[in-house]
Amino acid sequence: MAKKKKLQAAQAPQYTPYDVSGKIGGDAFEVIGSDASSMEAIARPSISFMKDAWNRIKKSRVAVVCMVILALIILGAIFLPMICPFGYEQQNVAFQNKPIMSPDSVTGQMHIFGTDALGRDVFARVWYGARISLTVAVAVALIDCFVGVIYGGVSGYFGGAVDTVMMRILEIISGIPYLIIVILLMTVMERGLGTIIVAYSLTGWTGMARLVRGQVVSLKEQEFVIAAKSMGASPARIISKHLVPNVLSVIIVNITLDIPSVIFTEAFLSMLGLGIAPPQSSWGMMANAAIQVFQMYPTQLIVVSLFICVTMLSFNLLGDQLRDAFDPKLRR
Amino acid sequence: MKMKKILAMALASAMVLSLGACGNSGSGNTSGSDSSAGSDGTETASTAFAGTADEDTYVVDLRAEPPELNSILTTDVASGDILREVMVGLYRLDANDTPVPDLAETTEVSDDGCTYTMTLRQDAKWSNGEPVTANDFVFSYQTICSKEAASSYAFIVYDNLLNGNEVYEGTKDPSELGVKALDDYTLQVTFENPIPYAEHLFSFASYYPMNQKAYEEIGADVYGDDADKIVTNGPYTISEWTHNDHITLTQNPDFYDPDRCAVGTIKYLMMNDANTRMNAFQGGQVDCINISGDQITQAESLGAKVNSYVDNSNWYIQFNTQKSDKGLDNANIRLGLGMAIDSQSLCDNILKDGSVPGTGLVPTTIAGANGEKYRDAAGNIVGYDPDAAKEAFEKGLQETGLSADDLKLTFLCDDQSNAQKTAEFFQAQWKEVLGIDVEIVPQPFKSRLASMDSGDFDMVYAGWSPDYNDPMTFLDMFTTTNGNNYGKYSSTQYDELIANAMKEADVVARQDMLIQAETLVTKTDAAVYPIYFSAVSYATSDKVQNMTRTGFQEFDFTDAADSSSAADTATEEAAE
Amino acid sequence: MANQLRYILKRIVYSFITILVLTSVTFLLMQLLPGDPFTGGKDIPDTVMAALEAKYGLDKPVPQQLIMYIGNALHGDFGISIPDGRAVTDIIKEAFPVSFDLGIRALLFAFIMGILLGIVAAVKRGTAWDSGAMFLALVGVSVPSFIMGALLQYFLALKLGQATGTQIFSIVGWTDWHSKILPAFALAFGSMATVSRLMRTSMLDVLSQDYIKTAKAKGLSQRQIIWRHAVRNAIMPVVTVMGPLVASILTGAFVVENIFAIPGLGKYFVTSVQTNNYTLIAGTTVFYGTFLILANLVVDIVYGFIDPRIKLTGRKE
Repeated sequence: MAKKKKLQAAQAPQYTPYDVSGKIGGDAFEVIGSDASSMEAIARPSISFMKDAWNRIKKSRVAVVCMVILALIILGAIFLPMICPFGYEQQNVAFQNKPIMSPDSVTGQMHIFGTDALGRDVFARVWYGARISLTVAVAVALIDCFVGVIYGGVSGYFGGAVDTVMMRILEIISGIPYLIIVILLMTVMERGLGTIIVAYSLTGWTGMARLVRGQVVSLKEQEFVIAAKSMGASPARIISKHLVPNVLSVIIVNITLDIPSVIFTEAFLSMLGLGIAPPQSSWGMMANAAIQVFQMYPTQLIVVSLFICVTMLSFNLLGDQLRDAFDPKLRR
Repeated sequence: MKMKKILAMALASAMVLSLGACGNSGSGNTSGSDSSAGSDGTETASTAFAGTADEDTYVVDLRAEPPELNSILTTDVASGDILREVMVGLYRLDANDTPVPDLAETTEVSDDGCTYTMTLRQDAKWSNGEPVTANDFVFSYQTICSKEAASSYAFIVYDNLLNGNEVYEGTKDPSELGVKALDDYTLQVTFENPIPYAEHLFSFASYYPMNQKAYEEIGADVYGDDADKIVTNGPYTISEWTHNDHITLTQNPDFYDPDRCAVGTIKYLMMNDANTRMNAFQGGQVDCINISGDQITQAESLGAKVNSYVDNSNWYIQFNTQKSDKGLDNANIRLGLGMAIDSQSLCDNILKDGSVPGTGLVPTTIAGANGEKYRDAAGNIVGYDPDAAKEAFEKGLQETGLSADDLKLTFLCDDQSNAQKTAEFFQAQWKEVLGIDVEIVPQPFKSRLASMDSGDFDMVYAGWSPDYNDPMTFLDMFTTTNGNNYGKYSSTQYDELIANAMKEADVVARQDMLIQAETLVTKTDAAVYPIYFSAVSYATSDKVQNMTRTGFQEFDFTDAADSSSAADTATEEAAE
Repeated sequence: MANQLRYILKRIVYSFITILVLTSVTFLLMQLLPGDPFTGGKDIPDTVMAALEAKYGLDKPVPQQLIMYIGNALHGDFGISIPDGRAVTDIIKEAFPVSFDLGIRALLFAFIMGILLGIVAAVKRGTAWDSGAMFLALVGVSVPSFIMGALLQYFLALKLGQATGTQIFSIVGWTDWHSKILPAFALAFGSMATVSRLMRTSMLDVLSQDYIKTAKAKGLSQRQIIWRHAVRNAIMPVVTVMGPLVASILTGAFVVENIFAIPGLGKYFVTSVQTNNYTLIAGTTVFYGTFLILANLVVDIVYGFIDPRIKLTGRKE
């Protein structure tokens, strides 16, 4: 800063108008000098990192479509089970495994997506299941991301003994058979959504931590980190402000990839008695049940797979757009 | 034009099908291991249900690896399936689960019904060349009744044989055990009490002989672990065993009764997944698979033969009678909960595999007095009755002073999808009939057992398969001190009935006591409520003949000699 | 070089300690599992139970069992599996080569296909190539192996076989190449998706870097830019996930082994926990743990070779 001011002072005399022919008098020009404060003024409004990203997402048609689809699914999950003529738990065992568009044998109302093995309405169950599956998926993905990023970031940034110890702990955690952890957890916790989130998060973050650590290890030797370090930035600031934004693209991709695995792990945990209690439904459990009868009643598998695939497609495409939006290298 | 083509194809396929049917009935007449039906094979090969190519090999699905082929240690069904083919004991079961003499040529029973003196056939040989003698039985029984062998089924021998408990505890010498070799081919077995099902016990794997020399050479720890680590004496020998993949048996050329074998080679596959089994069956890679209820229509549409048998196990709801805060100490509440279940609908709509509603604890196939089935004598004790259920439930609530909302019952079941589906069905029934919400608690198998053992449950969905062909195996488990009485049901009347029945020598009087006990535990006290007697459905390809599948013999291919005459008469009748 | 060697040696020592801790933790945790290894739905009399516990050494206090176990394990004796009485080492020796064969095929498939798809998608960004490649990847993650395996088996093994009259892909078993393609594919599909997605993202990162612009400006051909400069740098995050991917492919093999009736180790790994088969739980955990820890070690070393900026010593500057 001080240097700049000196420079301005030195430049000032150069602007002194000089007389060429005398026609233009020295008073024809006015010395306005240079205002140090106006030079430093920011012409465009300051755009925060998040706001900038948001602006860019808004411009992407794909991102908007994905967001609309996700919003529709979320709204559907909230409201459709309320207005559906059939309850998600309502059985009509004599009217089981019916294909799509079957009018009910008792009430005559339409089972839009048919019925399952207990004669329950698949439409009601798939929308109710969306509540469970999406809640669990998003919650778990966020927790995994949070824990994994901090753990991996710290481990990768500090390196040395810290890294060694943290990585060995991680290896041990991921080495214990998951089923043991789950069964033990079942003996100490009540079943429910919270338990399932804990059960998955206990080991789910390790993949993210490893990924982030790998990225941080290679990034921390880069010039911008060295610059920040030399300017005295604290490790917390370097990790959160310099390293994380640069690994954000990889993080986002990993989160979107995590979501389906969460949905199916939820089904596995629920089967074991850790997750949601029957007769509640979730996409994973519906897929589990549907695959057993897909040779005879394919529609059950098609319906739930379509829901999972469309949601995943939206999440992943949105993830791609987010990746671009958050990429510091693409910022202007 | 198009129409013609379709018509032609339909005609062609109809012809193929009818040819297949001809092949079927044709090979139905050729019984036994004789496989001269080569021409039939080529005709049926074009249909989807023709099965595997080799005529003299049956490929059947065992679903899981047989874990223990050491007859002294074995406890499970799959191992029993293999042992039944490769081993012979004193008796064997025929196609109707009736014990018939095998190694025992003559049997003399003492007047008190406790001592069996048997002369053994002299032409039986072990696969290591040694003759099968009475000493092989003595060695086997003495080994199983020793703590060092640590057999989890030891009690089925030591509880029955004279001095068994003392020998097992080490207070008496093994030579005092109730088994003696009077000479090389005369065996004397003495029981502690008269046992009406003794012949059935003699056909059980724990009562098979064991070749001492081989057992000691191979080593007790690894005996029966691989094809070359077992010595057998039966109609088949183990020719190949790839763990968790397949096990192949071939006919034993030295066996004394070769006509018994249904086929030259049996290959058992181990496919764990129901879709996999169906695909392999459709693809002609396996001749016999178990199928689930939904797959029956699929298998029938392929043209495969679909059969089912009652597998002798029952499924019931066991109530934790200690849970007084949930009203489960009250017989009426328990009875109401039980009667609310529409077991007929369960069998017809959910299970769909031939299972029948449980009208009592003892399944329909279990033997009773005088050659009758026990169930026929006992009749229908319990059943679905929504009005009576509601009435009993209300009465129970009044008696205990609880309200329906107080109960907050939980229902423990296995984590298998079928058990959970059944549980969801129950849940809906309780809601509909009694208006109560019941929470389902699925748990992995071992966790469920642990929860049952520690009494950490309200109601549990449990099943039982018999150890021997007698109602007692289903009823003695609810006496006060029995380790399987997880609901802690305690009734002096019940305990007395069972104790008296055990000592009773008159079979009819004994049966009456058992019927009284069954009525007491399921209806009067409703400590357990029977739901259904389970059945197994299976599909077979055309070529499989003379295969026995019953409650006590999941698979048996050694009944060709006795069933050939029966099969001939059957086909003759069918032809008329 | 000496530095690297010292680092590797140090890591091997650490790995050994890690395995020891992992063994101990698992050993203690598995004893807390509800139930015992012997009961199978029917009560076992107390005397018989005592005899069984004595036979397998379960009557001793847990710490003593652990010390004995580690002592025996160091001599290569991992005990005998409880329900079938087979030596745990025999089971692993027999079943692991099958799982390894399956795993390697799946891993190669996942990596080669994943990386190629990722590169194509990144280079042809925004085109139909990109969408197609990413759609394939998306199906890979959305359809888990238990569904993928069942569908492949039904349509490609059974239906295609019936339609063509020749069995191109076997329905079950693990014998010749006919039987090995579909299981490897089913197992690899999810991982392929992860690899291709990460590769695409990472490629895009790299392609926007200055040195790529420099290379372009220098007039290098696109092929040279991609293969010589971009891929080598972009592959880093993919290498990072290799450790976890090996883990998920090995342990996830259970589902695929189940569907295609393959006699691999995955089945033992899962069923041992379900049946409280303590010796087999401990044996498979030690084995898989060792395998994974070594895989991570290899990944870390490979990392150093690919990215010259990373110092293997990990010493803080």
